[in-house]
Formats: sequence, structure tokens, C-alpha cells
Amino acid sequence: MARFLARRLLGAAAVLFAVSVLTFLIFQVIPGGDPALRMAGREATPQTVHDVRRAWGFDRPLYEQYATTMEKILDGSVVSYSQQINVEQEIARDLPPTLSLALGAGLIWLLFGVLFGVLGAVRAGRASDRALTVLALLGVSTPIFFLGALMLYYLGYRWGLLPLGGYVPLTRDPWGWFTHMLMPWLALSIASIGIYSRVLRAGILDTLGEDYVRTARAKGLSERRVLVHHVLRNSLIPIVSLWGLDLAAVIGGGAIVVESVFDLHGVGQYAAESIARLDVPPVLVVTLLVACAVVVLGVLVDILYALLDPRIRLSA
Amino acid sequence: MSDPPRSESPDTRGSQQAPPGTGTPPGTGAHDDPLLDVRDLRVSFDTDAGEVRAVAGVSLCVRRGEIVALVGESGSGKSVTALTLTGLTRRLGARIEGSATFEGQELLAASEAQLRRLRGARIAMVFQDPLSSLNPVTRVGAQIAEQIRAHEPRVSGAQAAGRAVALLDRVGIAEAARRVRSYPHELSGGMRQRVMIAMALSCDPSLLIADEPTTALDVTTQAQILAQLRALRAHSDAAILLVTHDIGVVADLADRILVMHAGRIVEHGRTREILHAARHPYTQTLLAAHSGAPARAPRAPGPALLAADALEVRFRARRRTGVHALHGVSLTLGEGETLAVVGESGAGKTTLIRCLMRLMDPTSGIVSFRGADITNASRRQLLPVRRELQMVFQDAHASLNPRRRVQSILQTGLQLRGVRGAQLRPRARELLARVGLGEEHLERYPHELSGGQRQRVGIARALSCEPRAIVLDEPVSALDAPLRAQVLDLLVRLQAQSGLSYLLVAHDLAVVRRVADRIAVMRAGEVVELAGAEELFAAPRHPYTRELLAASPDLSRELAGIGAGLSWEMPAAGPSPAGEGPATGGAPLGGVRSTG
Repeated sequence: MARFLARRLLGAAAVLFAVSVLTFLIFQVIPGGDPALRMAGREATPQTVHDVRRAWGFDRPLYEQYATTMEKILDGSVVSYSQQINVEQEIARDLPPTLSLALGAGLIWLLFGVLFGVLGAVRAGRASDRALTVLALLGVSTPIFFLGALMLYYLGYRWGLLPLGGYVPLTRDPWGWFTHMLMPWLALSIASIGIYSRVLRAGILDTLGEDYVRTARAKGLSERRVLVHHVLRNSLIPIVSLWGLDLAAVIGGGAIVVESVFDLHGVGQYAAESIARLDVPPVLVVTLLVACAVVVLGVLVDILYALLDPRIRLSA
Repeated sequence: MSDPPRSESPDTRGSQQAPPGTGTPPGTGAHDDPLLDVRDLRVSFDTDAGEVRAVAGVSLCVRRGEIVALVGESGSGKSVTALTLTGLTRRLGARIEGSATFEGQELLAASEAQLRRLRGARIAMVFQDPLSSLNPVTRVGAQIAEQIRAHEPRVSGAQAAGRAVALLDRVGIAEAARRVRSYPHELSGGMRQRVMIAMALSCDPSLLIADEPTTALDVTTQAQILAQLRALRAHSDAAILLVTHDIGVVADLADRILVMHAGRIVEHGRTREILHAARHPYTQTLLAAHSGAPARAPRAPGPALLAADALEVRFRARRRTGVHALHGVSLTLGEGETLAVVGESGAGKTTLIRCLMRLMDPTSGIVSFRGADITNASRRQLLPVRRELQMVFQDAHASLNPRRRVQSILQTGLQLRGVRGAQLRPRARELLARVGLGEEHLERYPHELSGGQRQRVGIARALSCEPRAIVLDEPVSALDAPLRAQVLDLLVRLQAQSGLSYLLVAHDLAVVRRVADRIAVMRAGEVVELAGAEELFAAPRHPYTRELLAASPDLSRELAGIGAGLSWEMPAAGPSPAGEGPATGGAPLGGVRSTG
């Protein structure tokens, strides 16, 4: 276990380094990416631009710029080019809404994905299974911004059931937090519920054909016990890895659209705004955050995998 | 599956050995109270190709404490019969007619809840492949305890766990208290099947249905499991319905044998009668497939074609010093000869051929082809060697590309030899003809072929490169006994035609008997004995060779004297009173029995 963790930690370091270098370089080759021009203001003299360039170190060699930026990111003092506000403080402020969104939506889509997946598999071929298939397809193919807009219009504006976007901290007002998060959770979950239920349905149908399921029936177990202990236990294993990685993406700011539609001021929204301003430091930090989340959840998923399936050993 | 003939009459009168009178199950003595009484069972399935009748009027009966064998090749309907009795074919959409009473209760009309109370409690089942039949993510003890608690709700978890330990102990698993905490993949094949048997016995059933319980196992493990089933009879009064394709397996286990073919019972009787005086031609085919032809005297071996010299393979294993997969293995395959390599799984057979085929690198030692050292040859240098050295695999289904037609599978090898355009099809047809298949098979996909046909295509594919030698990795172990004999005969014929060399890998000595010139016996990475086939069968020198010979069901009686001194219990005269077993020689079994 210790060896496994050490190995994965080394791997994680390599991944983070590669991701940061790539992100940094991308902004060097983007047209109009020169931060000094934008920071110097609209009517800047060449002298001003030059001064800005010198002051911020944009005239130094690339590797040196990269090293300084990374150093600042690591000691928490990096500021954005556009507003010169500390990036890490900004992200710390935006993380609670993003975490609320990711964890809540993740639970919802896991729960309903499994529920509908099991229902579909148990009733495979019947009307209710077909209905679930159509619903899943509809969920997967509805764009989030459209679904979000519909929800806001009807649930929020027309019927006034739920607040029209924004974020209320959980610590300040739990009920307010819940009502504000409900629509974003649903909007973010719908597509994933569709995907998860289909993946699980297929997995269950495969598992139902396994010899050990026949054995379980030959043992005289009740159908419910066969389903839960022998079929579901085995078909849920692949779902675990899917869930871990999807959750990592959302935590790292992958839910840009939902955060923007419901004005949650989350990490994704912050990243989107920073990209629009070609602001390297915030984008770099957010990217590293995503990479971290993916790596950490990846390790957790692998450990969980080994716990769920004794045939897998933590060595790879 | 081809359409089995329909039954004209409701009873089994149409078949040769059926008793007169509607629905009198074969073997029912008038005074006996049958435990299981099946009458005129018919099972059919609706498929895309129309209705397929799997069981076409089967009547049979099993009395308390009796062992009855249901023998037939795959597709004969024997497994469907067994599964239907416990209602397990219902959810496959089977249409079931007839009647089956068990302890006075009608099974075919029983509700799912009624059947569930019987399954596992009164009728227990053991299946073919113990690895896939056990839940991979649950400890074996828990799987046994689960069954106990399903039928005896008052038993506590701890009590059930305790009974699981006792059951494992009873089926001969050492350190049962530790083994209950194992997962199936941590156990050997034999131990897994013992777990399945322990599970089946957990609620003290009166009928045990064993569906090919030893087919997936090594011969030595098979002998142990058969001994286990035999021992069962001494310690419990459970009857056993043994379903198998291998008539050799049941020879000294079953009281009665029912032979099934194309969905019906074609012959039945006491084991000795069937073995010695089979009347139905199909039974005779089954028996003939089992009588090993006399071992061949080694022909003068030609010049060395493929040779291994002091091959060593060590696998590095975590926290251990390393696993010795091959330990100083040297052997030579001569031109035109058949060298068989025999041993249980784990003996290093596969590692050996992978080294010889240069699919993996030995830790040390030399592989040579036509005298040239190819141990370190590059991929490019190996190309001409590969063309002359082809391979046929155990599982033809998995080793043929499922998305390519037979013609295109065969063409690849032909194209390598420069055959082009209009020449391709006739040459592919020629190849198929050599392995006994017709032109119509060119357009088929592998899944549209039967197991035997697929293995023929596998052989034709190897031949398409015009090799000098073919490495055959368990080429017939996935096939039924009659098909086995056909494919082996085909291999012998091809060799006689073109002077091919075979390196034949098998776990079963009986298989190699009719084809091998020389036999190398492997155990734990070493060749423990290498001798001419005739010599090896007549006078095995190494104790392990004797063990293998004794474990081979066909040969057990011939070698009864040797087998008596072996480590596991192997009653020399069978379980039943003298005269019941087929110990005295009989003509239908050919050379094997008559020398006994």
C-alpha cells in the first residue's frame, strides 16, 4: 500500500508538471497573448509597455518566467495579470459553491443512475425499460444551458418555486443553500443520470448471464438477494471509476456552463472569465487544481476498486 | 445447432433401447420408489431461426442414493434436461412439456417460490467451471453460509460460518478454517470444485445434479473430484445425477448410464452392460472414441527441426525470490515426428511453447530451429521461421477473428506465400478440403461453425503457410470425445500426407496416446520423463508419470496395480460390489480394457 501510494505520488508530480508546462506554453503561442500590452492600458506608450514588461519580468526567458510563476503559485502569492488580485484567495472563495455543486450533483446522479439502471435491467425489453431508454436519451442529448434556462424560467421565474440563481453559503443558511443548489444539481445531473443508467443497465444484463448468477439461483436464493449480492455488487465496480473521474472533472471546474447559468461564482466560472481575459496565472492554477482532483480521485478509485474486487491488487 | 429430429410418439418408443409402455422411465424397478421421476420431458427454445427442440421426450428416473450418469456430446440436450429440472431454463424462455416429480412433487408446474425452496436444499447443483460458477468478489465461506441461511433462516451467521468450515473439511480441503476466508481466485481448480460440492451438500440435499463437474479440470484433479463424489455415497444418502460428455469419467462411478443423443435417450442400462454390450451405434461411437489406440512405437526421428537446450525461465514475483517456470528443459522435435508434452496446468507447458515460438524470452538457454540459434533473433529474422512454424490453439473460438469469414482467415497465410487474385479462392478451398470441410464453409464466420469445424479451420489456417512444424496447444481439450478422435485422426492423416512435425501439448495422456511418437512429461517446470510412447505407457519410470496414467479415466483399470499405491484414495475395483465395475475385459472397449 505504501509503495503503491509512493508510486502514484511520483506519477502525480509528473502529471502536474506536464500539465503546468503545457498550459503555460499555450498562452505563449495564442495570438494577442502578450500580457504586457493589455496591462499597460489602451493608450500606452511603447515606454509604458516596456516598463510593464520589465516590472513583471515578461522580458525574461520563458523557462525563467515559468519558474517564477510556479514558485509564486506554490507559496500562494501569485496574482492575476488583469486585476492583480491574489489568485489563490479568489479560488478559495469560489471553491465552496463548486464543491457543493459537485458533491450534491454527484450523489444525485449516482443514486438515480443506479436506480434507473437497475429498473431498466430488471424490466429489460418491457415498456418501462423502453420509457427509461427514451428518457435517458433525452437527458443525454439536452444541452445543459438549454435545460438550465428552462428550469430558471419555469421553476424560478414563472412559478417562483426556487430562487433565480446565486449561491448562499451552507454555514450561513442551510435551507437557503439547499434551495439555491437544487436547480444546478438537477441540471448538472440529468445527462449523467442518463449515461450511468445505460452503462449500469448493460453491465447488469451482462452479469445476469454469468455462471455464478446461475449458481446463486441454483442455491435457492431469493431473486432480490441474487440481484443485490451477486449481480449488482459485480456490476457496480466499473461505475465506481466512472464516478470518481467525473466528480474530479466537476470539482476542478468542469461545470463551467452550470456555474455560469445559475451564477454560482464557482471555480469553473472563474476559469472561464480568466480565459476570456487571457489571464495566465488563474488559468494555470485552476488547471493544476483539476489535475490534482483527477489524480487524487484516481488514487481513491483504485483503492476502492481493490476493496470491491479482491482479484485486483494495488500494484500498477 | 441443427434441428434435432422430432419425436413421433409421446413416449420414447422411437429410440432403440426404450422400454415398452408409455412413460415408463428407463430403469425403474417396480418395487423401487423413485426419488426423481421424469416422464417425456420436452424442452424447446424460440430462436431467430425458429423453434429449436433441445430435449425431445426424455424419461428417466433416479432412486435414492443412486448414481445415474447422463452421457452425450454437447448439444445433445443433457444440460438443458438438468437445468430444466430445477427451473433454471424458465427465464431463458424455454417451452417445457412433460412431467417431472421429485419426492412426490411436480417440478415442471411448481411456482418459482416452491422451486426456490427446493433448489439448494433438496436438489443441489454443481457446475462445470468452478471459477466462473463462484462469485469472484465474495469469500467462499460466505457463499456457502449464504445458502445455508437462505434455507434455514433460524441459523445465525456465526453458526452458518461454522458449518461452512465443517463442510470444507468434509470435502477434503486442508486448513478449512483458513480457506473459508479465501476468494475463489485464490484457490486451485480442484479446491474450487470442492467448494462447489461443499456448497451443494450444505443443506443435505437428496439429489445432487453435477453438470460436467470435472470437464474444466486437469486429469489428476478430475480423479480427485471423482473420488470425492464416490466418497459421498459412503457418507450420505444423496443420489447423484451426473451429466457429462465423457463416458470414461463415469465408468467406475455410476450405477446406471443413460446415453443421450439429439434430445432423446438412445440407450440406457447398468454401467457394466453399457460399457461391455452397447447396442446403439451412437453409444458405440462414444466408447470407441475413448478406447485409446495402441501407443505408437517411435519412428526413426528425422533431423532436428526445433530444439530447446537447457531452457530456464524465472518470473520475478513480489517479495519472493522468483518463480521457476522452466527449469533446465531440453528437448528436440525431429522432422516428421510427433512429440507430446504432457503435464497439469502450471507445469510450464505453455511457458515452454511460448519460448519455443519466441513469443517470450527465456532467462537462459538456447532455442534453435534447423540447427540455427534463434534465441536472440530479431523480429525480421524470425519472419521466415514463423512461416515454417505454425500454431493451433486450444480455444478455436477465441483464436479466430470473429469479424472475418473463413476465406479471409485462410487467405492471409496464402498471400504471405505469394498466392494472388483468382488463385486465392481455389487454394483456400483446397485447404478446407484437406481438413475435411466443404467449400460452403468459406463464406461462414467462426461463430457459424461448430466447435469441431472451428478447430479444423484453425488447423487449415496453420497449414495455409505450408509449415514444417505445427505447435498444437491443447488442440482437442475443448472438444467432446467423438470430435476429439476425429480431429486427432485428421492430424495423423495430415502428417502422413506431408511429413509435418507436431509438438503437441496436452494435459491428458489419453489424448496423446494415439498420435505421439515420443512423450515428455512435465511437472513444476521440469521434464521428469521423456520416452517413446509405447515405452512410456508400458513401463512408466517416474512416479508422476504413473500418477498421470492412473488418473486418466480410460486407463485406470489397466493400471490398477500401479494406481493402488498412490497418494489419494483410488479404489481399484470401484465403489460397488465386485462384478459391478467393468474390471473384466470386454470387447467394446478395445485395447484398454482387454489388457486389464
